[in-house]
Amino acid sequence: MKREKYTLRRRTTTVNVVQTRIESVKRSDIVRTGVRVFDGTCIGVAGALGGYEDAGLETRAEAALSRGVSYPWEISGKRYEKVTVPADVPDETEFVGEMEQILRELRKKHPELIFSNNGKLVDFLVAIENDRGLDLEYGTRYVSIGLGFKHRDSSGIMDGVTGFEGAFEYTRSGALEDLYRQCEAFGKKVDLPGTDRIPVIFSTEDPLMLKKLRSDLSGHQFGSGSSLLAGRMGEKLFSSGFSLTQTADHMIRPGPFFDAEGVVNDDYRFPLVEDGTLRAVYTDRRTADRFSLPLTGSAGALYDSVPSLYPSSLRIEDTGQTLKELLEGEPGVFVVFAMGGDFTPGGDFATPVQLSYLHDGEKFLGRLPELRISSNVFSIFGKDFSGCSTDSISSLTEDRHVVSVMDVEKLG
Amino acid sequence: MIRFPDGLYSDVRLEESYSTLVRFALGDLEEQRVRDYRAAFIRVFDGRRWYFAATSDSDSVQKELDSLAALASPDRRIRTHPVVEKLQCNTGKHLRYDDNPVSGIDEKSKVDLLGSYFPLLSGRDRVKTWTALYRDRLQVKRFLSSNGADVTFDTQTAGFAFGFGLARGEKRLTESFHRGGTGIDGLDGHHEAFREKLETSEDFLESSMPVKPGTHTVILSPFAAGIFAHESFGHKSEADFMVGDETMLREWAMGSRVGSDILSIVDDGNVPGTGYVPFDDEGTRATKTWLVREGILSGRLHSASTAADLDEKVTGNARSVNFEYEPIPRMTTTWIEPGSKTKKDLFSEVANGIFIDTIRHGSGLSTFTIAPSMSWMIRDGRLAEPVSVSVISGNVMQTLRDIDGLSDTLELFDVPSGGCGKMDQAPLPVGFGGPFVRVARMNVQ
Repeated sequence: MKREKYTLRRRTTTVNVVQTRIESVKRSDIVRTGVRVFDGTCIGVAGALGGYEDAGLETRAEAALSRGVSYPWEISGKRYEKVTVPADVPDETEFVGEMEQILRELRKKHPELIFSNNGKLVDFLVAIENDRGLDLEYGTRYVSIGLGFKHRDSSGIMDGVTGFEGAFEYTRSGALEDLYRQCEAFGKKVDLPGTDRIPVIFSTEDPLMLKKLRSDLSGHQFGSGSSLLAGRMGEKLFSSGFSLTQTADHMIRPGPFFDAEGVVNDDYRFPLVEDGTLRAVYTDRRTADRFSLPLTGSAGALYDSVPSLYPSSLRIEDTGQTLKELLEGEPGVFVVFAMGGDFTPGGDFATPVQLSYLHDGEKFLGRLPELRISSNVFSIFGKDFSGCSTDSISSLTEDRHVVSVMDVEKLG
Repeated sequence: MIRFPDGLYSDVRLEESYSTLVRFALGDLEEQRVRDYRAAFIRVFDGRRWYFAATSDSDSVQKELDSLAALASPDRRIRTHPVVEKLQCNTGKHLRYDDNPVSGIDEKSKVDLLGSYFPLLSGRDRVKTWTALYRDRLQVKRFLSSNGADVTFDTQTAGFAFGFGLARGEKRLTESFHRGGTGIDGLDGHHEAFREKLETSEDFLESSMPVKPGTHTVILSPFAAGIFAHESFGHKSEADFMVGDETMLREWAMGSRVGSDILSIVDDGNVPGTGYVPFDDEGTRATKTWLVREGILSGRLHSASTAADLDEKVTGNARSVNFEYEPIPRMTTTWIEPGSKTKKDLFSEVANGIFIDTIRHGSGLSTFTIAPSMSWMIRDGRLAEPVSVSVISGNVMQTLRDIDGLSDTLELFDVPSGGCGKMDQAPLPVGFGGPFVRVARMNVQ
């Protein structure tokens, strides 16, 4: 019988913002612990919130073996690695005061806008250790400020969003630069350039952009035949400039360098698409075994759950050009807020864009009207893919920008 | 016994939560867990700012309360603060599920219930992948406050969901079949309906073609209509979006016309199901709130803070997604009231249009969107060829005014997996529904 312990600790100070003022402050410090027991055929898991007794938890995990959840695979072992990502962020006592300063500056510089939502200071640790000599630990601290805003004269719930997520090295000037960046352009209305097909700029962290690939690069979807990519391993399906990597690079953004099964990849990365060619799909142990696919270390788990396939962080590799170079002198539609769009099962894409700006590669030129954009997943990352920038408009994070030509029209 | 600090309003929400999750994929058991925990959320208000703490250690509630109080600035007049005056002082035990708790049903029965549906999936070569999920939850909350509230209440949900992916050549379709309620009893006996869903999905995959984009008359199924009401209007009714916003308050003044005169939208936490909230997370009793009545804006969904700010009554809609979060205005069960037409008449009056049956998701701000899954053309009043639609969208206010027909039967839905998202707090269990809803014009892509 082998035993494994999975620990998650999250200490958060959240400052809730309403009408550009602090409405409330929340503190929480929750430890979640899971014990997993393996008998060579099955897995049993038991979890605890907060304090617990080792023996009691292990007894419950052993009893859970009788549920019959299969897990015949060898667990990870023989690796010791503990990483604490250095962070330069306020401490808990400073953070509320820091948010007060930020909001004071926002009220002074942009009294025409109303900001709401929150800022967070997060102290995060995840660890996994087992009887096979696995001892991995990842810790970090970071600041995220995410604010929705609306103009005082607007009758909408929200006109846009601004902020940043996962900043290890926080400065007030950097935070304000990120928050202000689009606020001045918001007040300057511009129209679309004359053509129907325009370069569209998305952040690499925008979940909508990669939604279809995230689902169809699942090893389960691929192996079962329900993915659009099924049966096409090794084919060149996208632009030569497009490379997509499953990444656990903890120095770029918050997140452990190992998955929930304790798998650590070389250089903390696994290429899925290389130079447009499909090379792999993401898997956990169960998926890899079921469909005879390489294990990529893409298991996720709650503290008390069996590890299962989970889409890890996907990174679009930059194509060696700045955003300005990618636009080649043409202005692009910089998408800030596109809610409600989706891909069809066949890969067609359409979305309303509630907030976007005309961007010249260096700065926002003005706010565009509400738009509708459409394309197809194989075009977005294929024939219409201009590239992924090396630079970021954010001062505090590593978010970069993808440019792809799409059909763009005004909404309404 | 909790000692509430002087000069401050404070409350404690104690939660006992029991839940079961069973998951199969392609017939293999991948997860079976029972989660049982006690936790607490504590609030302190000094008239200027709220302070919150969450703890998984029920023994440390007093310590957390005292720590929060140390951050606040006491005010002897706190009891007369407008927010504090809005908070109700309910007492007593209001337990609906203690005779039939899901925690009293053995796990094998739940696994077997799910398994009874598996034979329906075998031999279907177009179904490439499927998952089956059973989920239940029993929560008992006790809310205590410095005002004297001490109310205990429970909520319970149980349900299952099958998700399946179909493929044939280049064509793909993802669909689902789910049933939910407040206990395990009503979850058996849906095999015929599941079989029909599978066959409809297979036919759709075979025959559907991309829709010709444009503006169409659209009929929404009760499920799609419920999602539409929730996304396009429900969130706008959550009063925290209005607080301090003079422009919004002017545009959304009570008594304004916001929709056609056949349209009424209701939210009610008293309806058993995933949106059952007999008392909210501020101890306020649930009320039936008419958000829209015959096209006229009639109500909003409140917490004590928003009710005080807008000088309106509390409605029992201050909800938290779990013990780690503060209550904010959220929906409970939200639906469009039925109308007067039969379903047959509603369809027969459409010469050319689209029927949206199932959807993948929806969202709404000033523009709403719905991502349909299975849709059919309507020609000369009858369902015709199946069509694949990426998204339908429109201006919310215009679309509500363009509703020109409602069928006469209400269907409400409890979805056992997923829920409503708002900022960080997701997924929150909610209920939704409506009749068949006809909209004269919608943009279809």
